[in-house]
Amino acid sequence: MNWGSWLFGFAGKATARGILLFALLGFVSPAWAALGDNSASVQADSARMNGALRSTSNARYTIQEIRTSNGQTVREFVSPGGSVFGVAWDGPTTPDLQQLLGSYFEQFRQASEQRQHPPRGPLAIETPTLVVQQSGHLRAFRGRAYLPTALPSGVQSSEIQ
Amino acid sequence: MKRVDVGKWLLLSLVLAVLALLAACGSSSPTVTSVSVACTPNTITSGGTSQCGAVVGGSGNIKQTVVWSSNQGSISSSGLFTAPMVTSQQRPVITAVSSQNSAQSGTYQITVNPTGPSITSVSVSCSPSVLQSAQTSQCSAMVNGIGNFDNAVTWSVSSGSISGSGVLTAPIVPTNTQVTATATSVQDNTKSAFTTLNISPAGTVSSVTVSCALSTIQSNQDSQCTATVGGTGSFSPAVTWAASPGTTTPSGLYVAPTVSTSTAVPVTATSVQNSAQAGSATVTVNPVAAGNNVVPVTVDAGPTNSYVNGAFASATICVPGTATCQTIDHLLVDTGSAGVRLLASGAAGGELGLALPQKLAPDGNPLNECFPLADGFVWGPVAQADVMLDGEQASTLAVQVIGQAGESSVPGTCSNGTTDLSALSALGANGILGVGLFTQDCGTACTQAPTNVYYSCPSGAACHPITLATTSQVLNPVPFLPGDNNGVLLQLPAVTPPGATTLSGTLFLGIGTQANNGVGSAAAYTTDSNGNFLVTYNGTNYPGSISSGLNANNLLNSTTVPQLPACTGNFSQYYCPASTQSISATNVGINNASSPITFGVDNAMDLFTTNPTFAVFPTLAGPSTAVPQAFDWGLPFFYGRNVFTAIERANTPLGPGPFWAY
Repeated sequence: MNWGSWLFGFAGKATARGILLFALLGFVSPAWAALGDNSASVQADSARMNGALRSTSNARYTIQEIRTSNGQTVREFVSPGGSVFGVAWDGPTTPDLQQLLGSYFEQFRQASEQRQHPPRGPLAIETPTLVVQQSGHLRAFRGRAYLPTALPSGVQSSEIQ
Repeated sequence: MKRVDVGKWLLLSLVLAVLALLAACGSSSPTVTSVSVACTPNTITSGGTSQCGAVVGGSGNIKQTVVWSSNQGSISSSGLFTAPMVTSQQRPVITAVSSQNSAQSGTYQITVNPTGPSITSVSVSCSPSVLQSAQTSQCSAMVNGIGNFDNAVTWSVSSGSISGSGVLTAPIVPTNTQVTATATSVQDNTKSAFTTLNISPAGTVSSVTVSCALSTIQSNQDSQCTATVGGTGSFSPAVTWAASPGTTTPSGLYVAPTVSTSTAVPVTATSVQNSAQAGSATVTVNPVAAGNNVVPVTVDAGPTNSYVNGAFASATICVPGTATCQTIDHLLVDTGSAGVRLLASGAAGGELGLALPQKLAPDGNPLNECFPLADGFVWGPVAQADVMLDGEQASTLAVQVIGQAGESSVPGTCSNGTTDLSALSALGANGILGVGLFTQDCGTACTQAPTNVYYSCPSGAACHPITLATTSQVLNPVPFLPGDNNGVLLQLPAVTPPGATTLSGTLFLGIGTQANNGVGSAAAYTTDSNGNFLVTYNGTNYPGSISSGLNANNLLNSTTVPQLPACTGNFSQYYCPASTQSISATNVGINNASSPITFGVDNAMDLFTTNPTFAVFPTLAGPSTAVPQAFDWGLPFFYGRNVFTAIERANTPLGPGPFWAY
């Protein structure tokens, strides 16, 4: 018997929901990072972005898709082991990269600083351990970030979109 | 503690029990009707004590026992109240509740004074309390307190002025007005009092004269007008403004309508105090002459001498309604964004030196914008300016000033780890002239939930994201021109590879509105509401766009186009094929109009190394990097094509925007 059904049997449906929700919130609330983090952070991202969450799976990974009311879509790619190895986004503006990149944000920030400006063009950060790409304009941005060394076996980077 | 004789207690208990039984069974059951309370002494100081007693009234065999409580300090079960430590006079309430009938209680209010001097109250009066503009009234304050308190007060007044000794000078008012004078204790600023005075107008208004900064303007331009009110005595200079045709603001800014013939418009100011006195000045509004829609464009290395494939133009920026203007060169012409962004002079290295009035957020704080670009952002206040493109002006347009000294620091949600481009060294231009498909830069995406685009910036506190109505957003200047306002035509000549040092072209305002911007044989390729159409490559459709602000054709990636490997190192944003590649793709509008495009791609590193003085590279291309892959045409697409960019919902000879046409 798993914990969920034990709780349902023991405490009744409504209370069990409350307990499960409480447990879930307690579990995820300290974390709001994503890339490289465990899948619980997807829930945190969803809550922080105030968005609706949709999950689709195939044999090699799960895509957790978050849609917000102002048209932002974020797709987080979760390995069978439960870690987030890629994030893709599109929407009218840029997403909160500090939230989505989590512990990789500082690496991104430093690489971003070293880019040459001008002229104006797409964003392309490519390091052996982190890739961040973005193009578009206000009203229509699209981009992605992934960990090249953390892709589950058989997964191509082109699938992160 | 006194020893208690157990035997006596047993006897007393027995007697009480019998009495209680008798009372319960008998006809004289106890009824509590009142509780009265008194404490001695009734005025004490911080930490002092006062003994309280209660008398329970009623009929029958009632008990005198009560339960004590107090809303401040503490009270024992025997009614001994201990005062709290106070810094100003307090009035704790002592409550005794009958233990026999909890519905019955009594209260007593005790006074607790601080041990040091304290203020208990302030009262204010002014004489006279009815006066005229500019007259004076002597106000005085009475401060009551305990101990050796300070009776000093500070004075303030809602309008007009007041001296330290309480002499109030009435404001000059055009109509009957109420003014409040307030005295606040210096020792205890929580103690204050106010009184209201009635002020009536005085003096006589005998004339109103009006002058306007610009006496001749064009359709849709504006002119700042000022009124001089003459009279005797303490008359009011307040006026109301009116003009027709056109509009006026409360501060006298006249905004002309679009006119088809030269029109003399009287701008009138009327005294509020005496509406029989008015003055006016005539502003002549001329229609925009044909041929005033030509903005020269140069493709060169830009102010940093490092730009490649950047199309630059000049605009004249003015403080709204005035002739205080500055012409800014090297604004990047961008058909992929909306809005004028001006880099400040000073540390940022830009040119804008005008003090443009900043716009306010709906909460009344200064309004700032974080304008995101794919590879960074620009940050700064939203301001109002008159923007003149060739001979046509967009008046009091919301623009963004970037890199302004002393501006609120960049919020973390804005920077997002990407690069702050609000400096010449990073931007490579003195600003951006966004003349793309849309009227506002952000549109409805910024109206629903706070996004990392618009920020309210309270003084001395961090900026926070806000929602902002489309009408308050930074605006594309083109739809606000008096004519030629349905879009633009960017015309750049063809360039033979590998390129050229510079290139000259033209940004024409309007589509099919004059002889110089006719559509000819061009076809329109409409876009979706985000400004994308489709580009078909090798049988697959990709989202696409045409943006003069992109310095290369940014298409797909090396996985999809293996003959185009990306360059290495600092040039990874470009393709470095082994030899010149010819690529074919097809643009497909949402209206299904399509046209095939074939273009060459050269090795970017070779181009740059072999031609270090060039700024024009027609065969420069790079990956779109993002997935899903995209096909964004940049400035090379414009070389040798007349490309029209039509504003959303605007009417053109090719139908309503948004679309690109060529």
